[in-house]
Amino acid sequence: MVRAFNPRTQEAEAGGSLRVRGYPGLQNEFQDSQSYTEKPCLKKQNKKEMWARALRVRFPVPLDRGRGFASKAGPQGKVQEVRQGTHSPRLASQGAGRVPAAKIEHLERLALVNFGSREAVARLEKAIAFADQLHALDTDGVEPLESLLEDRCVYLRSDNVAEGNCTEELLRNSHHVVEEYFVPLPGNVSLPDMVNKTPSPTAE
Amino acid sequence: MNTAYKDWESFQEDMVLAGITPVDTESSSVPTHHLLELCYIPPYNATVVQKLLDQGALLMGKTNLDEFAMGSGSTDGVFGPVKNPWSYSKQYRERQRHDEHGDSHWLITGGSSGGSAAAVAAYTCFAALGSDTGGSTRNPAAHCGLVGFKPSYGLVSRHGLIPLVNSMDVPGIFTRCVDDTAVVLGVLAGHDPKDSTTVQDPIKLPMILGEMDVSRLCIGIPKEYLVPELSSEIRSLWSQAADLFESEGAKVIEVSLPHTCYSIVCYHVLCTSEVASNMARFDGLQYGHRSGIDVSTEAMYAATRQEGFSDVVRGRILSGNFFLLKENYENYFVKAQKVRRLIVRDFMNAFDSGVDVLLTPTTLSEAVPYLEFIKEDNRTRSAQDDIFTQAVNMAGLPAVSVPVALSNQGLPIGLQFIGRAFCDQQLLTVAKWFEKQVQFPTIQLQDLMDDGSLVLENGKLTSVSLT
Repeated sequence: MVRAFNPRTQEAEAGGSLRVRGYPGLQNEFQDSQSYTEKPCLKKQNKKEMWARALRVRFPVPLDRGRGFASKAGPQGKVQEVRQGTHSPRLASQGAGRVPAAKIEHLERLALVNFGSREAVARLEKAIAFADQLHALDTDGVEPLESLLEDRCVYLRSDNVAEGNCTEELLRNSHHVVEEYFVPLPGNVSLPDMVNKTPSPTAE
Repeated sequence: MNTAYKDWESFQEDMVLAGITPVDTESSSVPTHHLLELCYIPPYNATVVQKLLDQGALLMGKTNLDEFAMGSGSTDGVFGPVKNPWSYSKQYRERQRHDEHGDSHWLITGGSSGGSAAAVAAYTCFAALGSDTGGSTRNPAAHCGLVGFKPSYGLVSRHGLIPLVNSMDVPGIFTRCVDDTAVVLGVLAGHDPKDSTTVQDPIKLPMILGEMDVSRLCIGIPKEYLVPELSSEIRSLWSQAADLFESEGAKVIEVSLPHTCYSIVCYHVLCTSEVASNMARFDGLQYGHRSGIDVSTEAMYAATRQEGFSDVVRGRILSGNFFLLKENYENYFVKAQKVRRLIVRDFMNAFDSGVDVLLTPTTLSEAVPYLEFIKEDNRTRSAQDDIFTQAVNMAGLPAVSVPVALSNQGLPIGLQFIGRAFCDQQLLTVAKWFEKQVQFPTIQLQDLMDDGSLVLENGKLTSVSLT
């Protein structure tokens, strides 16, 4: 299996992909070593071998430039048969754990958005199962990336008033204003069940 | 920039444009597309909009999209789905069986900025703006036969772009040719004091694309992007493109981005988490739709959000809140941030090995019929369709989808070029060279034109044939 993924091995199947799910040890190897980086002096012949194996359609005639491209694929736009255990992480339908009812309510309370249906809860469970695939990857020693601009200084504006005086436009967008105030409702009332309801999606 | 230069532009509806008021509820001049914001009249212009207006651009209108830019089909907006103009093209229709004519088999544009893509593809405007968080500009560009450009993160201001994922969003540009993109980018690029995530590096403007010496170029082909789901036609075109560069003397090498298969999962976690945070501002109090519930503040917020957000948006908010729970924060959100760093490193390693530009597919297949697209739910579709595009957003790199050829069905197929960060001009120069080689055909729109031909003034493509 290791040989199939080693790009230095010229027999490597170009159609093969890094199927790391379930092979955390393999992932370590690629994470740490630089060996996966292709060397610029890769022989043209070997590269062609990889493409030839991967592609089902050959091009006997050199590309005729200037006449534009034409799709030369044989099958009428059909997608290639999907192999099992493919490249992109799939929904793991097994292992989609149930989210407890208390957690559902807690999320609704935090988000102030309700699930509304059992399907929505099922979608959340699938989303969690999908995200669980990250755990197969070893990230020890890796710093979280918070911003793409982490290596730069980013600047705030100077603290001078340069614009404003648009009270009317701002207030115009609110449904309920009194003089220059936005008008909320009493805030010391906890979220009543009756407002948010649709039948509880997690009822046993 | 010549102030007499006149552009006709369309802006996507999640960019704010000051003062637009609805003529009537059916009118396309309703300010934003989200139910939550149907009555919102923005008091300011987005920086990208203002910059174009300052240069004399004429606003044609605001375009449809998936709600809050969540989706890959432009099918989930409150005004309904967007139809791909290529559904009505001669190239497509003449290849369909007769009983498939009629309007029920129209194709999606891709998404989420499908309306902007449709507007440019149908020759209603010179260019259009979209947003690109996971491919939302490049995906519809590929399906609509356009140049769809995603600038480097930090190059173009996000002030006024309703945020979806602050660390990945950028405004995107749709045009029919690469030179036009460079023109628009030349207007938009640059530091904006109102967006502290724009860099202050000097940018050479105006952005004029010179000739490219292809023999000095090194093109990288990421092997992990060769997935079984990729259509054979696109695979074939990808290979032909690589051959083309090589035949002109460029070095074409295979590279590896080993964490590619985790990229969509990582994106899913980070996206939903940031969405949960960004959507928290929509409570109906200061702007937007407000529910009639008057029991308490929280009850009003909850009802407002229930009424105002679609299922898709609510689903993402709830997922995001789950990942941000204290007990899950390290295991999901921080974990995804670490995986993101690995993905960024993959790209850096590829570029450090001497590659100038990566060449990949943009989409898995050509545009599909709407009825087929909606068989899967939004999240599944996004996970499938964003596969080639979202890693670029995670790394903040510039990327462009260039239309290459028509499929056997007569539909556009695009390929994606990815450049180094802030090397947008070089990327566009490569794209321009490639565009000239492939000579992508013009859309032939019959039945939609009243008169015999449509003549444009920009001198590039001067007519649309109706025969």
